[in-house]
Amino acid sequence: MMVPAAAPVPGSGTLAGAVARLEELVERGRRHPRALARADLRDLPIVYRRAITALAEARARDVPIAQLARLERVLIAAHGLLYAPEPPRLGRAFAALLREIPEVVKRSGRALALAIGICALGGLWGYAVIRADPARAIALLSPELIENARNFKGGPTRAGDPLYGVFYFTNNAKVALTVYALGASFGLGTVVILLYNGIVLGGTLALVLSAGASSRFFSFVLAHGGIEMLAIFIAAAAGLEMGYAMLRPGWKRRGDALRDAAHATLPMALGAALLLSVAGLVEGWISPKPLAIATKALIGGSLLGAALLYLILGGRAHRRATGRAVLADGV
Amino acid sequence: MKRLDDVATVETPEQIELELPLAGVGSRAVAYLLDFLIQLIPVVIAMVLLVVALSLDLGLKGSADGIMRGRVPLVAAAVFSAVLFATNFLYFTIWDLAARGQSPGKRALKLRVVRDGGLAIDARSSLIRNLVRTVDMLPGFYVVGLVSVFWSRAHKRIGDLAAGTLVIRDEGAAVGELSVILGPAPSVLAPASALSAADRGLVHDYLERRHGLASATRDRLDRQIADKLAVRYGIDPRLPAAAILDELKGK
Repeated sequence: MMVPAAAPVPGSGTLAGAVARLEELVERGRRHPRALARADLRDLPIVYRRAITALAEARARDVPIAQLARLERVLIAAHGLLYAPEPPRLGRAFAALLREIPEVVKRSGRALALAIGICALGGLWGYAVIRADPARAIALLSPELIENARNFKGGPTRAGDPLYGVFYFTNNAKVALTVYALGASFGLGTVVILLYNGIVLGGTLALVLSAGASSRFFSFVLAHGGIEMLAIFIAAAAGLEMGYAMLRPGWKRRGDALRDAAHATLPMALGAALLLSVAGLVEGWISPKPLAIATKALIGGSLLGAALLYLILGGRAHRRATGRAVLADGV
Repeated sequence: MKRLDDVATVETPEQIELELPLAGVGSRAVAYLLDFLIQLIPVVIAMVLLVVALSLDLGLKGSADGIMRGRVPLVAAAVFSAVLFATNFLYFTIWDLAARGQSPGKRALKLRVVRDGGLAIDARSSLIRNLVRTVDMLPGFYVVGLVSVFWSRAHKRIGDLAAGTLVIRDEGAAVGELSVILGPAPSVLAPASALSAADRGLVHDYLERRHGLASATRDRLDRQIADKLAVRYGIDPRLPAAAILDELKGK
């Protein structure tokens, strides 16, 4: 690296010098967000202001647009770099996310109830249809799912291994993130996936009961099923919030309403993915093990309880609410 | 933010307007194709590892029945699905954050994602933008995304709407003659070839409103503007006013 012996004060030299320095800073700063040194950060706003003042002057003097192109180009880049908030460090962003998730979930209580309702509707229908006539399963469920449901009759097919958790996690997280993103289709995609998953769940349960394999089924499902379903419902509630914002934007423009809802509910989708990483681990490791049903239910119950406790007690909203109560007492 | 042709205008805190040139559908599609091909690289590598692990395991045990019982193929399969998941959901976000809105494909095509106000993209906007890609890809071949790009004011696919982002053309630093900027105003110079900012604004604004004017007013204003600008930009002032306006529009 070459360092000039006596660095001139930026902005004191020619305009061309200032613009060249700005171009160099922008180029470096954009390639690696933390590549700018202390001296660079000192210079950046100075040369930026010098250049943008020159642009304003030139426009006032009616300079042809073509000749301003270079100046405008570097100013667009510099403006985007200079005024964007410093991205938070990963650890800090994660801590903030953990605080934010319960707040957002609590705010979306009605959407969460709606998501559970839609899924339950599909579940009841799927259960009723297949319970009445198990042969109809072929029409409703894929052959793979039917094979799966039948398999609960046999013994455990494999030993548990935390590595299986990776498969369950990636698969379920894909569903959760998709059910969230599909909210941007006026909520339609989210509703369809919820209904479909409800039908699969209800149908599978009906098949399992008809085949008399319920104890094996519950032995597999109880440990991880609770938090897995909770996660999917949370992600779906976030999607429904987005869909609702598109359908009823109120005084906002539709696109802006969608944007606000998407940003507000993203923590729910990420929280769902987080919850699913725990669920996946349990599903791959503990669920296949031949433990007593009571043990599995205890594990599943405590996981679900812990998750609900975190959602209910976590976040700043709770503290604020307590603060308000104290104030109310004083008044 | 308003839109004139293919730019989104933002006002800086210094209250100076900057025009962000919006990217076209074609270059965005090519950039995506490049990124898609690059995404295949880690997936294919993980797949090869998986196949190698499976065949090693088969060779050791000598029968197909031990496939998932060995730990090596299980590890390879787990790595494969993790890589698949990560490239699906994190490829663009990692690049957006590491290179301020430029995935390799966008870099090759000189495009960049920025937030609506022209600021560098943040993690949340990037995540939303790329998760909602699922909707843009419906029902196949990005049909929803294309319709949305043509429909929306600032060429946004649904993901851009949900995230509050724009895809702009970013040619990087180019050579230009800066000395001219602080030199004498061009109106006193010989006929200029390109319209100045003020004149271009005048012509654009006028042409936008022209069709709504009464015909007598329109003819009168046509003539006035043509007379004012024809000489300055070296157009024959004897031409009909409409022809002069046409010429001016093209500059």
